[in-house]
Amino acid sequence: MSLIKSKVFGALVVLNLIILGGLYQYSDTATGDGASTAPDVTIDAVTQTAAPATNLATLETLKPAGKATREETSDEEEISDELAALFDNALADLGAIDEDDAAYVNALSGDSDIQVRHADHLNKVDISALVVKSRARPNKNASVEDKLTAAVKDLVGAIDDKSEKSYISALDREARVRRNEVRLIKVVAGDTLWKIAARAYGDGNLYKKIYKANPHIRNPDMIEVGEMLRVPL
Amino acid sequence: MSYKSIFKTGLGVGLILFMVLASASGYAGEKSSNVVVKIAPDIPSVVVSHRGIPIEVKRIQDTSNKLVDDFAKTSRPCPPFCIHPIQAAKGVKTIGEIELLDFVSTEVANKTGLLIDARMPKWYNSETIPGAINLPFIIFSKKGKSLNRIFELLGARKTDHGYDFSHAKKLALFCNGPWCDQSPRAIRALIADGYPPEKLRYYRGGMQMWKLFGLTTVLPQTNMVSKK
Repeated sequence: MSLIKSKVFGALVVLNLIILGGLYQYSDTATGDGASTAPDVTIDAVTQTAAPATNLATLETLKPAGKATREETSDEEEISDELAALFDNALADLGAIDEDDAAYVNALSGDSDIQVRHADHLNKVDISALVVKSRARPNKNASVEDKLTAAVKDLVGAIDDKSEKSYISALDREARVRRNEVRLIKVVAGDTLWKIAARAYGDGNLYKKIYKANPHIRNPDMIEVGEMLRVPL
Repeated sequence: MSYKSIFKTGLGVGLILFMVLASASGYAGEKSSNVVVKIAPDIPSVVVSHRGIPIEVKRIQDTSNKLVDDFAKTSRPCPPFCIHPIQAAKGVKTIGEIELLDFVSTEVANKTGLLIDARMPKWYNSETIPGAINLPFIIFSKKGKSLNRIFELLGARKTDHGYDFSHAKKLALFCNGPWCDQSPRAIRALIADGYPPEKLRYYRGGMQMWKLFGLTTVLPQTNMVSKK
């Protein structure tokens, strides 16, 4: 038992060192670039997820797939075998791990009994009515956001997109797909999926489309008044 | 550096990050017991201001919910919709959701930063991240008076040789996610115009990851089926 425990401990130490080593690297990178201002420093230390500039993965270094090669050295194989054995031992004795870790492992294996239903499945806030005011030409005291939005409007209209034409038209195609996907309808009193389909598509027979686009609906006869449903085109 | 001091560094950084987030973000604590799907262990939701409108950013609570719309798509033609590297440009930090919320709660709230949705207006208008304003990437490729006006609003000062960006706002840019080139294009164009890379952030996850986490979005233009 003590042998197993010490192995488990060894594995955890290795794991910790890997994680902390990573953290150390990030904090080092962040302090090294010297560009951040004071309030940003703490968050920067953690958020330096990008590789250091010298390690920057560029598309130039990525080559199209050719022949697959295997260049693992025997040393690397030995180390990874040893690590695998350590992990196996650690996993075999979950009782020895930290309570927090054990709870997390249980959650990962789906043992959590927490299930929540009947909630907002869209989580979208319709602000269209609220921002109408700011569409008008902003005055001197308007926020920078409003002034920028007005300035952009002038610019977008005046731009000829020749240089980026193909990208813009591809974006337009995808935007159309998106626009069709995010159509919404509000359930009113007396509604059934059939009635909603008739309203959304002009054909009640298409109710299955709504059912499919709203998987949270368990019983098509039980929809809530005021609920927003997706009605994709 | 010894093992102990490395550990301390890690712990300290984590603690400070937590304190920054907990204090700076709106932190809607009263309903926290009902929130099963939180943003972070102690952060059920964050209130941010979207052009003056307070928006509670939270996550969809149904643990069986899945993406069913076009953000569940695996494949779009590449080019142009290719997988992007983690960095948009040299010197520009790549950030995630927590850092983005922190940026909105601190830099944007203090008027030292702006959250920029760099997508074309059609995309922005149909759905965006709370707190974002729309500066479509194409505006930066067009030089002229109107672009100068935008740089000035961003806090740049005109000099004899172009612009002085030393007092310009920090910008966090995003678009549709790792398959989208709209914010990387904006970032490259901004840098080409002299904007300092260290004032820019790239939220690579974009709408794709935001939606995947079930985080709150805002609809600048409604897309409701009209009543008959």
